[in-house]
Amino acid sequence: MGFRLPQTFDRVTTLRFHLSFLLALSPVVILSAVNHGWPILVTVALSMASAWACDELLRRVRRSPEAPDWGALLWGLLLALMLPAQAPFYFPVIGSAFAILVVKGVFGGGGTPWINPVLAGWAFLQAGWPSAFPAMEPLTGDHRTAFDLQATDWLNANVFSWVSVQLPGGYLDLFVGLGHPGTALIVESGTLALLAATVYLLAKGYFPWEVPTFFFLTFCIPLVFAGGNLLHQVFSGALLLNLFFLASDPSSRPLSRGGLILFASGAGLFSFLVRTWGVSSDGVGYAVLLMNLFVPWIDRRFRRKSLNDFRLA
Amino acid sequence: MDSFRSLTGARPIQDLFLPSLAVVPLVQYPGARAEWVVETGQTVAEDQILAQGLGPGDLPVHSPIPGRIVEFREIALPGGPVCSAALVRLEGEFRRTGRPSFKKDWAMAGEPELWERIRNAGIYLSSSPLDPRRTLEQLASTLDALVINALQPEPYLTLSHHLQTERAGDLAEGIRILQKLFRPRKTEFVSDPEVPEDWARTFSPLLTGVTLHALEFKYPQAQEGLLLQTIGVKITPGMGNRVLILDAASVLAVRDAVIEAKPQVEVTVVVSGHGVTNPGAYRVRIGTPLFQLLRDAGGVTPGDHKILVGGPFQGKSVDHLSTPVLKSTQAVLVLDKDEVNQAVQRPCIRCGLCVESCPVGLEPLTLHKALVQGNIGLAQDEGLAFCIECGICSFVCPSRVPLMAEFQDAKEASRGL
Repeated sequence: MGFRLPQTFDRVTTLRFHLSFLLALSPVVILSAVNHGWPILVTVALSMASAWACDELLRRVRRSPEAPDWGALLWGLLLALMLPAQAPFYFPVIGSAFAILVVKGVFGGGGTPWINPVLAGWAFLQAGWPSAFPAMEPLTGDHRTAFDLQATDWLNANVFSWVSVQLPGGYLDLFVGLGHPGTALIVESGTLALLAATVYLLAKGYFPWEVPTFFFLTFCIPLVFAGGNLLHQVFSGALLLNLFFLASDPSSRPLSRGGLILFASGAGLFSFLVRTWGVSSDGVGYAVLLMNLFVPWIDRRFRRKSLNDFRLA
Repeated sequence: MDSFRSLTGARPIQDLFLPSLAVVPLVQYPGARAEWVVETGQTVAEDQILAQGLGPGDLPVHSPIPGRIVEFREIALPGGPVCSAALVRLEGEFRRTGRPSFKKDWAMAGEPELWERIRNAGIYLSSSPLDPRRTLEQLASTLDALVINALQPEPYLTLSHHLQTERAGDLAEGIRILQKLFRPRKTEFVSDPEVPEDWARTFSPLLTGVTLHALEFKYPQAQEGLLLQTIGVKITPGMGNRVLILDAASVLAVRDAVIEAKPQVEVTVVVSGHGVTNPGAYRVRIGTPLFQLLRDAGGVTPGDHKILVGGPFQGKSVDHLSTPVLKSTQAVLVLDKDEVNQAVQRPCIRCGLCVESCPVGLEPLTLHKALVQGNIGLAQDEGLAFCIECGICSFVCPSRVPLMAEFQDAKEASRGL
């Protein structure tokens, strides 16, 4: 062989890609820990450690020739974010092990799994311990914090009055992750940091804009027609995490733009259905998981019909 | 993709010193056959023929400097092949360099004479793949389209840009000579997109029957099939006899051979990359060792570098700096770590960047998966044979999967079946 072409490469590496995600999501964990206490840090650490250990085991067993890419750490973190803040210590361990060993190991077939392992691990826990996951509660405005009371009043007096709109109480709590005083998902308590992370990662071009855009539209439009509380629905549960991170996960999303749009629209619509008539706890993950099942079909359906033949011979 | 064209694009071509010891390889492009006609110890004049081509299309090799043959030695060419080279030590007097050149007429000269001048000059033409059984001369009666390509979409490569802006008049003259020789039904000129705005206004009147095209710098835009399709030349079987693509350097070499009776003993080389102190385009003699070229061009910055002959996609690495400049050399790149971006191979994360960038419309990741499983049949169903080996998939892959190399191997393996 001697030499291999090409001689240079683009800057982005898988390692850098995963590190950027880990870095961008770490403020979510910190904010959540501030809102809900330090045990969250333990949950996250256990989840990541378990995912990494299982991935390493899988690599050893398979004698994988490729270097590790830290993707398992990201999956571990994403899984932890889907868990309730009061999750027992064995939740992240079991969830990550299921995600990596069963979903990645069995369904992946040496390559990447086409079912999102994080969502599969989360669904496994949801099915096993349904009562551990907090129910989606309507916004009552009963538990408003002092921050929400003061800030809402200030905004209504100084900003919204200009456009003759009044912001009801409780939404600012949701926005900064204080809206769920009792039981909450870890990610719910770090909403503000999650939004900051998406801005950073979208600006870097690390996930396709089609997925969050169409997911959001197909979720919100029917919701508005059905008379749902839009702001509350968007900022509650794991909707934003699914919309930006889990539905956009490269391992389990379609390849073509058309495919992405169909996939995201389906996920949005199913999210609306499952939120409106589905399980009592947040079921958005099921919607994305359902669309995951269609990805091989979508990829076949949306692939380019004919190749460009540039051969001269 | 950074183009790095600004490193060299704005500086005019400069002449460099003559080599004190020229290393002149017998074979300067793949497939050539030639034999030496000089011996060790012999004194040679500037432009004297050192080697004659054996086949009808094989080129003679001229001495780039006056001097004495010190020895013949086996050397490694860029990319690995080994071939015999004559070492010529500079001495004696110059027959041509520094003297006024007189221009030969070409408009009145017959075509056989023009071909004779081209053959004698031993010029290397960087062209589209030709039918190997035919020489360039035999194409003359059958050519539908002559395409002059001054677009170099690979990063760093600004040679065509320099030639097109600095030698526009000569370039036009070369195209007129080629039109006379080949009588193509149509002539297409693919311009460098970064030439000054008024460039076309002064260039077009010099030519007749030439269509100008301005395409984007988007690798691999200059790949033959893609280029032809973009400018509207239909691709049909047996293309090699009906279309000829030449780059700007080749056109100028033809022009210099016909008008100045100058054998190809010098080339313009773009020296670029963040590893060189003074990137630029330099005119040097064939046989100048790279260490002298780099030293005379201002030297190399401290640190580890990757040294390439050619562009970052199609270029070849050299293992040592006594490797000489060849007739086909267009660029020497000295790249630092941040330009090469080498990394170990990691698992495919199915990000889809390769699918997005493939000009053919293949799914490189699907091909990769099939090949890893040893399923060449599936890879062929997925269109393996359509791959044009541009390497853009390997370039963008964040996991550094050697996609193109895998496809090349698989194509070779399936040819053997």
